[in-house]
Amino acid sequence: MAEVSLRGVSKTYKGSTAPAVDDVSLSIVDGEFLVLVGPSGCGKSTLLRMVAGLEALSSGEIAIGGRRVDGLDPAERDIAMVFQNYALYPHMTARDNMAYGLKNRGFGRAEIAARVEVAARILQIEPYLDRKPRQLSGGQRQRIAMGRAIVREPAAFLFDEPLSNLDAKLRVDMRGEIKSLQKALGVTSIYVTHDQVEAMTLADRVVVLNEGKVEQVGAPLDVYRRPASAFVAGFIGSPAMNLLQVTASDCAIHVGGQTLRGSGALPDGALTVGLRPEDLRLATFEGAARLEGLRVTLVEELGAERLVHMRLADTRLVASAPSGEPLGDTAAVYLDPRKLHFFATSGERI
Amino acid sequence: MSARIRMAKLAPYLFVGPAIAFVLVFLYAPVVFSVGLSLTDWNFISPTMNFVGLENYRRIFADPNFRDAAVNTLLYCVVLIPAQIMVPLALAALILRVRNPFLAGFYKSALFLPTILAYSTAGIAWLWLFDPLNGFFNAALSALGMPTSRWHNDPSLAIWCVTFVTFWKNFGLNMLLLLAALVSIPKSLLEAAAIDNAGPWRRFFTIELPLISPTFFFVAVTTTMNVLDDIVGVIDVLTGGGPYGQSSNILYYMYERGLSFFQFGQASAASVIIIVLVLVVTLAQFRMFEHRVHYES
Repeated sequence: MAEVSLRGVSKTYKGSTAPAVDDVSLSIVDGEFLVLVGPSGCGKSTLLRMVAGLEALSSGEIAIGGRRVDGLDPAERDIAMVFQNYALYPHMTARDNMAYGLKNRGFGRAEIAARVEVAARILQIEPYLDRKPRQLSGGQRQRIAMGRAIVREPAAFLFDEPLSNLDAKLRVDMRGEIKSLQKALGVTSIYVTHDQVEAMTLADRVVVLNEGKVEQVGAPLDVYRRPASAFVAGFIGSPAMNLLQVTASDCAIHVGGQTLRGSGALPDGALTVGLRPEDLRLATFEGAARLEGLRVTLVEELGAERLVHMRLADTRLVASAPSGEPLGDTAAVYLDPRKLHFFATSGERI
Repeated sequence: MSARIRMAKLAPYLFVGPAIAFVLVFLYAPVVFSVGLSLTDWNFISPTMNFVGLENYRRIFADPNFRDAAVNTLLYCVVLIPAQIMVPLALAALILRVRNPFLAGFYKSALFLPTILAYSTAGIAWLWLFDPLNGFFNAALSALGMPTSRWHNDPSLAIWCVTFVTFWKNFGLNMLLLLAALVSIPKSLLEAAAIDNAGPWRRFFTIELPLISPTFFFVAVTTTMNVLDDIVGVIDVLTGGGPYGQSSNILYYMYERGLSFFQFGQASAASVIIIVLVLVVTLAQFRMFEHRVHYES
């Protein structure tokens, strides 16, 4: 268990001018579960692989447990990694897969057997220890990969999209198990995912990456409630936040030929207004902050609630509404001025 | 049953029919024919053919030329089979670690080049290199003030000249096959091994080699067959089995018996011995090694 710190870490691949990871500095405290989240190509996996020692840094420093490791081989960094495709050795049994790293480190047979047994008990994989990976299901392989990491008792766990090869239900189950396991073991963990639900549910802190840069670092709910940029606002949350391109003047917002008042002091000119679908109510009463004449384009029934997709001129909006209420071809929506997020045209929060 | 359904049922047989006919006519029929001929005294020209039982087998086992050829065959196998597997494996592993793509491509092309040459072309080139009077090797040795050699004309060296040229001609294909297998190992497995503290040697023997074992096994089986029969091309062009039969092998002995001396009965007996030898060796390879092959990926 240890603190992991990254200082000014950058990576530019040969032949490319744009950095894949651009001047990232992070400090992950002992026992913390940090999730790197972002769209494909944002540099999150590259960053994790640099921590693991599988990619060289172009510049910057990485330290694990106060010891600088960026010049060391992966094996010398005292980390364990769970790969997206599990990376289990197909010719070895589950037991041998888990024991391989320990054997290479010169552990005695008794010690190896004891560690494998303990990990197998924790992960409930004892019946599968003598099977080869091809004889195991996706979930079981995932557990063996976790077991391989656990037996090492490393300073830090690194997870590279470990759930993306599992079906939806198993993913939810494994997500919970990973979280509980990490809490129980208290090992500092860095977890990469493109799934913002996974990020929200697992993380102590979330790091949102975009084009190699850190957009925001914070507790999941803080990031959700107060996104630092329009990018974060659009990426975190499912369904995504509505982002409306509007113009503001005299403390009023003009959108789709209609005017909304009551949102307080705003700089005049073009800006982006963000509103979570759950904060956008189908209006049943007359209110000040109200948009009317929205064309309903699609209704997605989710059971307890439904997502109502609407259109006002060129502006698209999604509202989360209770199921069962009558809905016509057009609707009016009520916007709670207190729930609005404002972003400058550059994307920064106002 | 409609014509359409009948055709659909017949289609698989029509598709595989030509291939089966080809194998039957050009592979199995000659084998059966050879077994039959090996029990006769037919000499290719004579209109008569008499059944002689196992006389042909008795004669060739009593023939010192056959015994020399058999010993040489064993020697070729002992030297060439390990060399044609291990050296290409080492070269493939080394090329895999060449980081400069241009250099890696150059090594691959240069080392594979001999494989695509015809035996006749390669043989003529090596004949010139080995030539005792005007050859490159003797010229080089003379220039260095060292004693020259008769190379493939020397009874004690001929077999090694054939061995070397056969190796030179054939190792490239095995190297390419093994290289392709090594390249296809998922990168994440090698990365997992690196995190698991497996150094280059340990990683090669405990991860890479088991993962390429299907290709390795294929290479081992085909190389064995290759050394038993394909070597004839080099023998024929380079030494003609000489001097004094010192570089011949069983297959070349068969070729000589049949096409030089027209003793088709004895040649067929030799061919049956070769077929049995190949079958026994291949079966032994499957029995001994196939359970160590990991086909899962």
